[in-house]
Amino acid sequence: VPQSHAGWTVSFYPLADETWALAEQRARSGKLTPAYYAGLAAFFPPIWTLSTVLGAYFGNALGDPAQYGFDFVFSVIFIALIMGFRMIAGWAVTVITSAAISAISYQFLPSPWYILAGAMGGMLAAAAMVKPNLEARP
Amino acid sequence: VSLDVTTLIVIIGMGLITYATRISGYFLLRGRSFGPRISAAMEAVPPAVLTAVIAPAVLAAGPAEAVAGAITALAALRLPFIAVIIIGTASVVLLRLAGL
Repeated sequence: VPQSHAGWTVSFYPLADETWALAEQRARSGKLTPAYYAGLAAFFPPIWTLSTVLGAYFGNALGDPAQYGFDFVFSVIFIALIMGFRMIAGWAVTVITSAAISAISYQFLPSPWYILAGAMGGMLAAAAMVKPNLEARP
Repeated sequence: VSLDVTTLIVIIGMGLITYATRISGYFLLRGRSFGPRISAAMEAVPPAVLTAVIAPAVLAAGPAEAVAGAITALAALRLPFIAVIIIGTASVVLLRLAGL
């Protein structure tokens, strides 16, 4: 964890969904060290950018990416990341609520809004799962 | 590949705004503490957001995607990340070939 504002400001630049999820998991299962985060930052964004450039130049030669299941790789990676958080209290309720609200609201809400709806629903479900007697403690 | 000035400005602008959304959370929340319900909601942010992003692509795309998603989740209980990716992707290809 960075010690300065400057450290934090720089460290948020390479943050993407995947690096965020892996860093969060590391923080929960032990200690998130600057070295671990630097490893994510050093490899993830350059490889993403390089892959994008390669895809832009040579992608057409592959034909339809769906025939290799490439359109589903994104979902597969996210499922693996979500499963990595299953030690969180209330995880199952959070995931089921978020998935249900997102998949249903996707039918009538435009692109970014079903994500917000599902995420908010999952967070509210997690908050609702907290035992009231825990709140009474000083 | 050619790039005109408007496109470049839009790309840089989007990059700055995206970055601002990332650091704003840190500057808004640092040094604060929250009650158990708010803490639980914030702990739940990663799985809640990641799930909401992909739920339509997995659950509303068709039976092949839904079944492959379940296989992926099961594989993730035991296997390392790269094996999960290969199994999940291969299963969607096979299930689609099978006509599901």
